[in-house]
Amino acid sequence: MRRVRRVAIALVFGTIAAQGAAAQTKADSARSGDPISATLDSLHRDANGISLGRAAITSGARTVDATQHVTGDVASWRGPLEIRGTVDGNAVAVNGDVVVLPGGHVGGDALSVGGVVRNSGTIDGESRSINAFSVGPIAGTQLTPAEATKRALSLAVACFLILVAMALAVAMGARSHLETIASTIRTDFSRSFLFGLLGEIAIAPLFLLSMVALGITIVGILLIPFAAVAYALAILGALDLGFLAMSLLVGDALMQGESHSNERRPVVSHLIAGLSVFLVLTTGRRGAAYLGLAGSVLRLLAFLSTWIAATIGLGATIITRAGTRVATSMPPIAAPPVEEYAWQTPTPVSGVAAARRPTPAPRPSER
Amino acid sequence: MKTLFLALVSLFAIGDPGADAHNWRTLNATRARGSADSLRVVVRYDAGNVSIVAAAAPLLYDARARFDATQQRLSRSYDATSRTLRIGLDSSTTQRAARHSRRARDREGFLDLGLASGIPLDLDLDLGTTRAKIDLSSLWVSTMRVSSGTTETELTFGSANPQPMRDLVVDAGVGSIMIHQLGNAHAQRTTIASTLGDVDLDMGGDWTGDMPITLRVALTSTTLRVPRDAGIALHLAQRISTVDTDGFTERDGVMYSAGYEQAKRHVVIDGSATLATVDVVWKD
Repeated sequence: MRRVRRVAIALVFGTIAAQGAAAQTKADSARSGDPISATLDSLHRDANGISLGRAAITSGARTVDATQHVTGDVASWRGPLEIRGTVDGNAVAVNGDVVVLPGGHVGGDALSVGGVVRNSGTIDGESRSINAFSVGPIAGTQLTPAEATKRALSLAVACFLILVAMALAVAMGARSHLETIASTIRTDFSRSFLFGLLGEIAIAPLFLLSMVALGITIVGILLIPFAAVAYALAILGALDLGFLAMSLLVGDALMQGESHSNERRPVVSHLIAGLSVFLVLTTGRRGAAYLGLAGSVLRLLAFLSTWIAATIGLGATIITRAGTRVATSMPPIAAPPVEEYAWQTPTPVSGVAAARRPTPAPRPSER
Repeated sequence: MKTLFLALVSLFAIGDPGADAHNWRTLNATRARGSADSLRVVVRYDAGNVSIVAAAAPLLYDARARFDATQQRLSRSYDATSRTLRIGLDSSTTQRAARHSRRARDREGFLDLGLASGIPLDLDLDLGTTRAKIDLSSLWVSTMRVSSGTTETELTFGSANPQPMRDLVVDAGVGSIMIHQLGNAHAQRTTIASTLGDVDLDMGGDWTGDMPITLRVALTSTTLRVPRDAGIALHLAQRISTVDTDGFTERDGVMYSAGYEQAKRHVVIDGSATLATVDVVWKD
């Protein structure tokens, strides 16, 4: 039973591993099997190639004698093709020159791949040479895993640097707003997520509605492009602010620097620390691509974490109107602790006017 | 934290060494003129350098190209029935790798096209982001249309067209257009349009009679180089534009250069200029 399970697991992983290489293998199958067939295939698929039958091509140098008259195409593979006689069709040399000597006649095109066409005779069609084939899905765009990783890393770092720049700007210009949003996330986590989710769902319908509303009047029509840009900027701004607030909280947790909410902690450092966590998640997603099924799960988790963070941040931004107002459901900030009998402490010699027992704040029903 | 930040910046600065990888291909294609009595040429070339000149006899065309097979496809075809040569370069610029290396590719990729002289040519050129140098000296051009996106286009009519050209249209989006000795084209109708850039039209060459030109320029600096023995009539709809008409006289909304009536040949320009400047430079 255990053996069967082991074989099944091996098969699953084998299938996953083989999946990526399948397309490439398929394309190369002909090549590895029969190089001449692969060459014919490339000749057929190249925009500057020629379709030839298998019978037309032979390996090595080839000569069409002066007395010969070939009714179809003629081609050589890995060798020059010399035409002294007549070829009604095309003359092709792959990895060799096509040489049409005096008295030689080619009724179709003369094509050399990896060589040149030298003509002292007659070529009715086109005389053409290409240095190599360019076929299939644009060659070279299939990045190697290392290249793909480097690219993904570059992109992630670029995003990170942009966010860091924004974080600096926000920390300098809108720190209180950022703190308000972060505070809302801390105290109203689930509500923030709900509002964020609703906000994300409402982005497109709200946009359409506002555009339609503007389209009713002529002045509104003129404003549509500006409104569209403003809307996009507002959404991006809200997402960014929320995400930064979320990063700040992550940074706080990471640096363990938030013992009191009103402490003047190094916000920038905490923001960068928080953003670094998301950078690691993003780059980790790329790395997980090589781990098969487990990698897929890890990638999903990394994506979900980032998305949830962005959603919660957006929700908190919406709730606090971009940090301009404190959320209504937030509990009031606790007053500094007062010892119960502190009011009874002996009066200093210098004296105080009066001492009074602190009274609790009136309840809403008593107001 | 500072070290981490610097490391990240360095990592980003190093970038992707694989981004500039190229896979250059060359193509040489020639065809003997044979019995061809005309040629239509359709070129769609979206990035790189393009040059067109007269081909050596007895060739109908002689195309030489270099392109990056990593992101580009060059194709050519010739239809003997319609006598049409089509050359197209398609760049997959939407791909990340293509965007990375586009600058190098634009600099190094090229299409040099030689065309048969002595037969009427119908040229249809659609150029994307290119530098085009088109020397039509000793060629017989019956119609020509050049449409471009972002380009530097230099057009030279070094010798007189054997037969009048039916239509010459140069429609540039952004970039510069420079036409030398436009008079040699003997175009029955010339249309020059530019949205943003510079236009330099030299009306020199061997021509008589009237040279009608439609000029539509916007956000463009235009220089008209007119032979001193020619007269020029400007009928441009100006919208926030400056048209240099010193020494011109106006009649029925048309500005005529001094001695227009006495001149043996005339440049007649109509069209529009929006947020543009039009200067007239007299040349000896």
